[in-house]
Amino acid sequence: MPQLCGFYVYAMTQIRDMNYQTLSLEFIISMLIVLSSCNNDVFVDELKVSDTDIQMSGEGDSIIVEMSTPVWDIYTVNFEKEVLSTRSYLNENDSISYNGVVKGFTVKRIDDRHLSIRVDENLSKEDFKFNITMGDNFKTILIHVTQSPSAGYDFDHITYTFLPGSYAISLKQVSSIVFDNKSDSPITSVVSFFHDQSQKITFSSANPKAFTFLSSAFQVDIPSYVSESKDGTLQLSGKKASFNDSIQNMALPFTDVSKSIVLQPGATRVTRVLEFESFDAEYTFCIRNRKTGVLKNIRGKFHSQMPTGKNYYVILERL
Amino acid sequence: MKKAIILTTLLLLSVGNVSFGQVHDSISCKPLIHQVEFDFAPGYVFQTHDFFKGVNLKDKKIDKDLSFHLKYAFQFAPDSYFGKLYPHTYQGIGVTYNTFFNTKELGNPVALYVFQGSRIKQIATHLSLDYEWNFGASFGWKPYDADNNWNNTMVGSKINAYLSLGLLLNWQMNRQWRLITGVTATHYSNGNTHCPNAGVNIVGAKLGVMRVFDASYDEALVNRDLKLTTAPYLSYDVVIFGATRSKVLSNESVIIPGNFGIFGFNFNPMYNFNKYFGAGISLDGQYDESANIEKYEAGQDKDGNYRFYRPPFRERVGVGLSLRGELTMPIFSINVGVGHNMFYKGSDWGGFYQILALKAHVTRHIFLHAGYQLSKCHDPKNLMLGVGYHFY
Repeated sequence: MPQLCGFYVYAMTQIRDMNYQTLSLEFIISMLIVLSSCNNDVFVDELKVSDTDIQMSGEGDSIIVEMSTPVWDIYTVNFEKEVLSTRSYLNENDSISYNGVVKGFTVKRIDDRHLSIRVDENLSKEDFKFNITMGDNFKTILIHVTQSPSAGYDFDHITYTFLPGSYAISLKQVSSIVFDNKSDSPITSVVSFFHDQSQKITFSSANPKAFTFLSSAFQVDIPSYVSESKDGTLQLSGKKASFNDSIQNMALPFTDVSKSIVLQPGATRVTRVLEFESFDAEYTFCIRNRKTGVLKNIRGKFHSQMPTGKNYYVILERL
Repeated sequence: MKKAIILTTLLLLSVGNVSFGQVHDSISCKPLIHQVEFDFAPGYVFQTHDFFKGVNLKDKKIDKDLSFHLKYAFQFAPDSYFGKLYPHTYQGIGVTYNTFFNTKELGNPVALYVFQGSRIKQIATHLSLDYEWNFGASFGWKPYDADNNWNNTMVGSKINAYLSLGLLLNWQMNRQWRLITGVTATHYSNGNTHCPNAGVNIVGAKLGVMRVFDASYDEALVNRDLKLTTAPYLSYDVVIFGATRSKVLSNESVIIPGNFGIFGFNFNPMYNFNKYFGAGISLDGQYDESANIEKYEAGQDKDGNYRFYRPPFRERVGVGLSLRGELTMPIFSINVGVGHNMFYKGSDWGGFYQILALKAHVTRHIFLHAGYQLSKCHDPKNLMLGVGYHFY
């Protein structure tokens, strides 16, 4: 308003001294200046985002969404009946994160004009969809994000490295049974030492996604311990085990051994003691992405325990 | 409404400028005939709103108006160029004091204005039927205030435009004194620069006396057959104008905060049939910062104020054609028009628009332009305050 008034006064003082073209030009320029500065307290900038329907790669992806105004907030992120609201999930980094075993995302406000959306690999075999609700005082905007499933991985190879000092030999009591011979004469029985024994192996990893890249039934070669060298070494045993985090029972590499025992009249405790060997190995499970061809290494520990088959005992104890 | 003050000042100055300027054009040794007038005018206020009907602090109708006018005017000498062209025309400046007998809610406005009058018909030897228009700014209103003057939804600003048109009987009692009586229609509003802007409309009677200061003035000389005529000719007016306006959310009757900028132009070729009347077509372009703003309501902020997104530029601009008629008199011209936008987007530019404008010539070619624009005959739009160039 003051500009407008000022212009009129100015125009009148100049009106006789100037030619009309100059006056008109000054009038137009002045008006445009006045109009361009009007009503900043009435008009607000409309919040717009560069994209509201975002497709992201299943192999892990990120995108920056641009905002038209600096004043906005992330309200919630919804997915699969979950609602992560800023109140409970927004951390000190101005981000909302979800880190699932087979999928995950991080939605982060980078600065006043930019929102970062990052997704992990989608190993779920199906589209991962989530919605980001954001807005300002006047407008709410929903950003739809769809992440395709990962193309998946093919097994490439696995290697084992013996962990020195992990090899151990120990005697363990595996059973203890009391027999009560109520007859007046001794009886003979047979003890089977290894009929219920097996090689127990486990794969473990600090990487929570280690066992999600391939089917849980996928089998890999497992090693056996060779004690011929000074510090011992490993060699592939020719056996295969599923690459998952469950305890697996493998057949023993030797046949069962039986022994006859004589049980005197009365109660006798029969205890079976076997010699076991155990060792640990660090494994590197290497897989190749079907789409990108990039190798991914998953590291962890392989553990094996089984009877040696060399030393085994039965202890008879009259009660 | 500061614009009204400035505009009035400029118009008053223009009266002075041209009157002095015309001295050199005159062929008379006494180029101007001065006159002073005092009027007394009781009026009836149209009952257009509950506020006038009694919804006010006094719980009484506001239907009476009383005004007093003191006016100075001049006529061009009968044998001057303008005197021959417009022998009965007078123009000048005036001041009026008004009361509605409700000072607390309406105030007692004082108006400063320019005016012009002329003869319509000589009824008898010393009696004529004249017309006179007044245009100016009135000060001292008590405007609407949500906290302190909530009943007054008629007047939204302290300063309002003053327009008046009168049909008068002019009795020339002798060479120095005239008795003036007649009826007047008066309108006060702010040109939609502030809301509310319902305005005040008055019809009244008028009784006044006029003193003519030129002793040599001779009505017979005025009436003798020296009158000039002009041949028909084409002229062109280019006007650029600006203003601010207010706006109301029509569906919620909420006053949108702020004043919005107006900027526009008219290019008006005019065929002048005679010295009084011309007609033509005008190309009208206008930028309105608030056009179609209702479509872009963002919502209310934390304080409850309405906020808007700025409409696209294309929806803030309209270009149309209007039919124009113009009454031409010395110094002033009154231009009326009815038009329709041809190039526009958005409902705010739709329908017919109407224009009433006063042009005050400050030089032979340059004039000041004070106009008002309506939409659809009843929706107030905006003032059109600017300058123009007249060429032919």
